[in-house]
Amino acid sequence: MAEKRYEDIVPGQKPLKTMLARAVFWFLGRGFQAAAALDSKVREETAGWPEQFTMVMKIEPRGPVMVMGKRKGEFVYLGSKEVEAHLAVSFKSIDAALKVLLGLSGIDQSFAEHRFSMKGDIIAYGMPLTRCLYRVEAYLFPPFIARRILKKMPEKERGMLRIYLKTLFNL
Amino acid sequence: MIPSYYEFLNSVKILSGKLALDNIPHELSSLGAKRPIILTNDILVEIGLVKTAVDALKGSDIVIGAVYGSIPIDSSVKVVNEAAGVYRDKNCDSIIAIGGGSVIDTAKGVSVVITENDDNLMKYAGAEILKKRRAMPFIVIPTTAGTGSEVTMVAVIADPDRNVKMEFLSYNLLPDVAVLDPRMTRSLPARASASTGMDALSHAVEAYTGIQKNPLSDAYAFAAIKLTREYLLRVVENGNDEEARLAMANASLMAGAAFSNSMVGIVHAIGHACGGVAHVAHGDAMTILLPHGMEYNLDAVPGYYSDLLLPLAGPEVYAATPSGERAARSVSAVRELITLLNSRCGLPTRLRDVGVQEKDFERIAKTAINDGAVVMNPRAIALEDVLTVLRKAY
Ligand SMILES: [Fe+2]
Repeated sequence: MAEKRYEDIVPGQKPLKTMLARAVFWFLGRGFQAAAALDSKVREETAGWPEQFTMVMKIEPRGPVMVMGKRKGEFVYLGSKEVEAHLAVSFKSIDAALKVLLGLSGIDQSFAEHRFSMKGDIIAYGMPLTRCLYRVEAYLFPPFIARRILKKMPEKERGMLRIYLKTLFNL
Repeated sequence: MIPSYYEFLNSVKILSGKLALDNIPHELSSLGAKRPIILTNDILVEIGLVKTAVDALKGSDIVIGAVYGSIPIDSSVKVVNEAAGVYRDKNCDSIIAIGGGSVIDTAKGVSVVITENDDNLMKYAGAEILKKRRAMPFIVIPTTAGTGSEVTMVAVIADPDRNVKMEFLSYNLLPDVAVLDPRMTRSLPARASASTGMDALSHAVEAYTGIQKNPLSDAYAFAAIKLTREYLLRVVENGNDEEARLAMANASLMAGAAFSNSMVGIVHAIGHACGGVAHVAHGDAMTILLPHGMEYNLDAVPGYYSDLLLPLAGPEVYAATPSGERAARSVSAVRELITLLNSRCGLPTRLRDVGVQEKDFERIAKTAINDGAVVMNPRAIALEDVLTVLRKAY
């Protein structure tokens, strides 16, 4: 009788989704930076954080990663290299992350579904960050998408075009 | 309604009823432990509750390594580290927490510090980041029927040096065993029984109406509310009513399991803030804020509030109320209960009665919107919304 052989099964990677997530992370980081510069409410929230404050958003187990933080008084996008952070949001899977990043699921919903873990001070950083993200989403997503994922549409201070110009070309 | 996705865990073994304490030695040995530390507070030692628990262990091989009784009302990192030091010095191998929310939260903190072998608890703050399995068996004996902390994955612990509270959410914080023995809640005075019972009711109502609700948390919440309706007034009227005591301990536990898996909402967000800013006792804050919080959410999730009329008011009232009026009727059912409790034992009904001043509103509101419970509330909550609720509850 032939002996049954058991081999390792490596589920493999999701290269396209990883690329997409990397691109959307860049866009979200830059969009957040634009909103922090142009929207008074986001500015106010981030003003309360200490200089050198750093936050990481990533997808487990090895990325992509997005880093933002406060440098010289401005809240800015800091690239895609993982660093020590005050607050780290880690999505448990790439598909769950993409649902949030592409506006198919809200932040509240994805928190309720345990789609990510959050390391750090939820009260001091997690909640203000969440409020900022509501506004960033309202700017970056078309209204019909934003309305679906936000409990309440925030009042926007700037047009979408203005935010997009800043996000894409830093104009 | 079935959520498109949800998670639920309640891994805690429950010992409920007569001679529950007497089974602790068996539970400890099944978990491979024989030298527990008892974490509690001095008052519970003084009134003999800790002795009741220790006496129940007579005849077993268990040795209590230490009784650490210096846990204050607000759990803090300092106390956690000190208790962990005693645990290590006395070579303990397990934890028995005897007390209310602050004792249990402190015990959860101690379990993390010992498991991670690291005195910097704050490094482990956050949601679902504890990776190591808890290093010791952990048994909880609640002495109030309210917090439900014996079955929750949540702990709130303060860092007094930085004057901040930190939130810890992790399935690894769930104890192994919860022991509900009527001997342990019998001595709770009427007023404290009432206000902790209202805390349990708030957990159940908020768990049932929040965005993380799911069929399992619903079942626990529903059952908890039904028991509260049937037994809360009885424990307030007669503290020695063992059946009622046990029923309320179960209500509290079930409400805890519900909100551990569905979280709470606006009532707790504002209630925690009233505690932090104006030192309002948690149960009192819940009593005062629950009807106002329900009113705030009423139009966002009327169907859920309609459902709640059945456990809140009973089948006769439910059947006699037209479906369109049930949601609002749920709020009045809660108000009626509060009025009764107010007349029986003086439970407060307004924020002004518990030391909140109008000048505190701004600070309370700013604190409330940073509470994680805001995210799980069915309706968005902005600073102005909190101020409106505060004015109504004043
Ligand atoms: Fe509570």
